[in-house]
Amino acid sequence: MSLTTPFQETYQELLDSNDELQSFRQSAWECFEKMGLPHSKDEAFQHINLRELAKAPYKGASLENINTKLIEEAVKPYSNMPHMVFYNGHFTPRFSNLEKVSDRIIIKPLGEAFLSYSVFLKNLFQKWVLHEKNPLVLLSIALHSQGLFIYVPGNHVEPTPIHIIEVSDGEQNQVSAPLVITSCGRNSQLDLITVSQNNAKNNQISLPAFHFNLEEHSILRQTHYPQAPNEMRLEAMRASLKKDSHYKCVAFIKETQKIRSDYKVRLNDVRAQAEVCMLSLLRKKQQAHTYILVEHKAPECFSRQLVKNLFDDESMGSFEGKIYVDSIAQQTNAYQLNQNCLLSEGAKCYSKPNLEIFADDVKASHGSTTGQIDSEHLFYLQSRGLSKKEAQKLLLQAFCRDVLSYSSHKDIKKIIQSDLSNYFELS
Amino acid sequence: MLKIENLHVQTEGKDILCGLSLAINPGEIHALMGPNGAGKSTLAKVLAGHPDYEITEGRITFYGKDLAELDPEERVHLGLFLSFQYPVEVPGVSNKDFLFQSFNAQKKAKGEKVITSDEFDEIIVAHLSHLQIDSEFLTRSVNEGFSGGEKKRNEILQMNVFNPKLAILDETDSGLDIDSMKIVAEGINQHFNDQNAILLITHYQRLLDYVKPHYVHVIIDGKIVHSGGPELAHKLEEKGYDWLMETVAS
Repeated sequence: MSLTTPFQETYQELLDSNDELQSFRQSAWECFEKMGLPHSKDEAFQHINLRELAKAPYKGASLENINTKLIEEAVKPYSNMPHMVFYNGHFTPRFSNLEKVSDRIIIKPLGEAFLSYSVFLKNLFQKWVLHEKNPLVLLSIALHSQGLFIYVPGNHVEPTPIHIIEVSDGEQNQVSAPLVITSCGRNSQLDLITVSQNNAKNNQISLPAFHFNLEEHSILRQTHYPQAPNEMRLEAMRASLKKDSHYKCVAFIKETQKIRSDYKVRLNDVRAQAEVCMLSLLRKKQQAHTYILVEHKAPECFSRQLVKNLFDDESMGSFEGKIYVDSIAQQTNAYQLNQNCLLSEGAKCYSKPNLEIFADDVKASHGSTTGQIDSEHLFYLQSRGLSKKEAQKLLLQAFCRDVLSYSSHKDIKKIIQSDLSNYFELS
Repeated sequence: MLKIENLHVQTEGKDILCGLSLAINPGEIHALMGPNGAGKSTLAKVLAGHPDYEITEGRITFYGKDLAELDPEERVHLGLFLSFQYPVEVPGVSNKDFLFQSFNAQKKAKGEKVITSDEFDEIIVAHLSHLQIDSEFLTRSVNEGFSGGEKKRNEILQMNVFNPKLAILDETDSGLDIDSMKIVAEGINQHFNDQNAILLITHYQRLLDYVKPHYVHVIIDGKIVHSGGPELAHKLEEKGYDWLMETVAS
């Protein structure tokens, strides 16, 4: 069986949809077929076992028998905020609430957006498919059905964060591919909160792909909070930044069966800034794999990667981060740090920070630490009257604090704080 | 209050304390002096319950309770405090949070009502002022980036806030300039009363000029070889430890 066969049927079904995106689905599928599914011999995928992808045929997750109760539950914490709902990978406007969103912002199903923003979207997809190196992202483009398009016009600052809520309730052996294209016009600002709620049966695959296009002086702040207890989530973030723009993503990962987060951020013009910070709380046999590539393609750009993981029980994960500095990207300021804390003997992690620098006037640093809770720290806190559990909690909170401080959203912070407390109670 | 009988301690298979005995009562200040490697800091860590040290023989009781059976925090709840020779830096944990949580943990263990953060602020402000510590100190991470003097003052601040029955001060004078030492000594003297006790571990006479001990003990090769009054510290300052080592050897 060909390595792309498990998804063939789903792809064939989508060929009948006959929308404007068909040619891009087709070219993405062709590229995917050429590349095939990732293999453990591919360096970027060496620590994640994707064998189950090749096992059974995967059906496209359907919109039939919508579980409205599950959607209501997922939406509840954000019901007063603007939100858009993806159900089983399909953008479903009827469950979304955009009353509080400014009229100036364009929010449309992707197919519909093609009618008005055809040139922009064609250009974007052509380049994306041509340059994409991750076959799973190509698969996501090929298999997406109803995507979402967000456009923030120039000089518009959206005051309220917009939530994108993914809800999955698929059967076994289903694949869903939520696709979101966001473009921020010149001098615009947007806060995006991307969350997911999963009630899927085992052996479900989700291939979410987000593409962010930032024009000059624009700012996009993303708080990402995926939960995928029963599915394999292979997500991708792609950001392309112009002059003086700023992309800031803070991700909190917990309760994921297996997640791989693949970030590629391209700083295309001077003084663009990108920050990707991530905190994963893992236990049992959960897995979190992170791959980040930040490309400095212009002078005076700034980037920061901070990835912290807590591994308990038999959980495992990997980090591979790369800072690439092009020869013209003088006066780059780039920073990358991965810190892992192993809370049990059965937990394991792999870390590989990379620098690839072709410019000579660059400030770049990278680092990686993996260890357990420092026994001297623990003893010091105990020697002041805290129990071992209380001391451990205080130290773990300290470990997580800097990533948490990156998020500016009080509501999400509250949820994360509560997640942290629960996690520490069980650790 | 504290009774140490024939204490033998090992770490990594090596004997460090070899038959040490000592008794401390409320209202007493004891100074423990000795050459490098004699076992002074080991004794302090053993009393505080450091997991790296194993008691192979002998017994330590604190208010009648066998310390060997207690976790480090349980010893604190009984009223024992160790000021570390090298206080560790704990990045990310704010001094205030740490002190506040520790204070309430001790209250809880004693069955007392815990206090609010605002109530704690009132308590701590007075102590900060006595030790001439800036309030900005509280927002910093525990000991992170502190100078040697600041770390030692932080230890004394903790002692004053927790108000222990027995404070073991392990080389609190090392790394302090004269002015800082006077401030620290004042903090120690302020804490001391007839209901509590202090065990000062030091190399030098100079701290003892400010904090007057009732008893001075000399530890060599893991046991106390000589005890006396404050005059013993002067003699050690003058003559060193050689004369005692010779006596022990003979």
